[in-house]
Amino acid sequence: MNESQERFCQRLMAADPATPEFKAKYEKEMNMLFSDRNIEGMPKRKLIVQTTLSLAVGAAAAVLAAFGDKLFAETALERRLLSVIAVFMFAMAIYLVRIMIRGKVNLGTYNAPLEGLGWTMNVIIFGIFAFNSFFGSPGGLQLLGFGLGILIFGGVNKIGHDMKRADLRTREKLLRLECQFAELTEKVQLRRD
Amino acid sequence: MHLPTGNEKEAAYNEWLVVRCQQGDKEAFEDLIRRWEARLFYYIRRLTPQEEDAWDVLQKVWLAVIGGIRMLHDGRLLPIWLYRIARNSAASHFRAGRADREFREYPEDLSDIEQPDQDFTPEDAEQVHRALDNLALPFREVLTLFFLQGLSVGEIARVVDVPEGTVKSRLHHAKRALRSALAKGAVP
Repeated sequence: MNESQERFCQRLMAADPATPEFKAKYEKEMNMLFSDRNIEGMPKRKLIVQTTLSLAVGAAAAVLAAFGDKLFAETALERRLLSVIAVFMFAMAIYLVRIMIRGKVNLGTYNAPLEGLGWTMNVIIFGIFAFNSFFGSPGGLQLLGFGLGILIFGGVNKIGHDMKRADLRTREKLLRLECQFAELTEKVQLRRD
Repeated sequence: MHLPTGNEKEAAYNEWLVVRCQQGDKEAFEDLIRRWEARLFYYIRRLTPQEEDAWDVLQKVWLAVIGGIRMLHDGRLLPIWLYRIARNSAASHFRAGRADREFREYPEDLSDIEQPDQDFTPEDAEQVHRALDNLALPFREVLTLFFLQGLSVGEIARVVDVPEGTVKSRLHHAKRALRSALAKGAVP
């Protein structure tokens, strides 16, 4: 847009002033949207399901770790790994419960801890299956294959995510330079004129 | 050496803004809203009869932007993307009503009409604003996009989802109606 078009546009918008009450209501809601986003409807239900699952898996892992010698986890190592799973699942559940109690989330920061916990869980599950296999548990090879599948799936997801982030960071730097260059060019041209 | 023009600077800034938003940068979202709020509101206001509805629609637009900006692969298309969201949000707000029919019912196509030039001066802006309300919605819509953003015929066609010929025709008729209203001093 050239300068005249821009001035025309500004005057056009100025000719349609907003009603202060409506604008104030909108601004209040926008502030809430960005600083504290209410969790309602589907996201709330998703959060409840995630919390319940985390608690259930955490409790199951804790029971297996405590009474594993009679049930499933025969070696001390397996039981220690199950304890780690229980701790992680409880940590995730606590994080989710805290979000639910607060009833609000902050834009952009909500998923980061969950992503970290998810990846760590993948590694731990693979570790358990691998150790089971090495220590000769029944069906160990199948468990190792299954664990490897989980690890590869999680790894591919993580690599894809990291690559996208790295790409965004690089693009952001290049675009910032492009904007600065464009600004400098504009200033030089203004001086010339 | 190629030096960037004003439009290229704007496009580069838009792309930078989009990339920052995709990284979850809160300041970038605030900047995006600051830069686009007034234009989008003016456009939505031309599509909705009540001001309160326009603010509601604008809020829905930002919700859709927050949810969907990660899917926007080319940040240079930001203006088209934003106006499309605004248009769709306004249409869905009035889906059951007359306004939605108005959005769709204009099949005319005069593709031999040349692309119009910006031939209204900044001094005409207030009168143009008043005259816009007297135009039928499809004419009002394309003219608003043309005045607000200086979008090309092709870009407007992508926003309103009609062939370029139809946009040219609507712009031609709308500008003729505006000129005639301004000449007669018919606009109060």
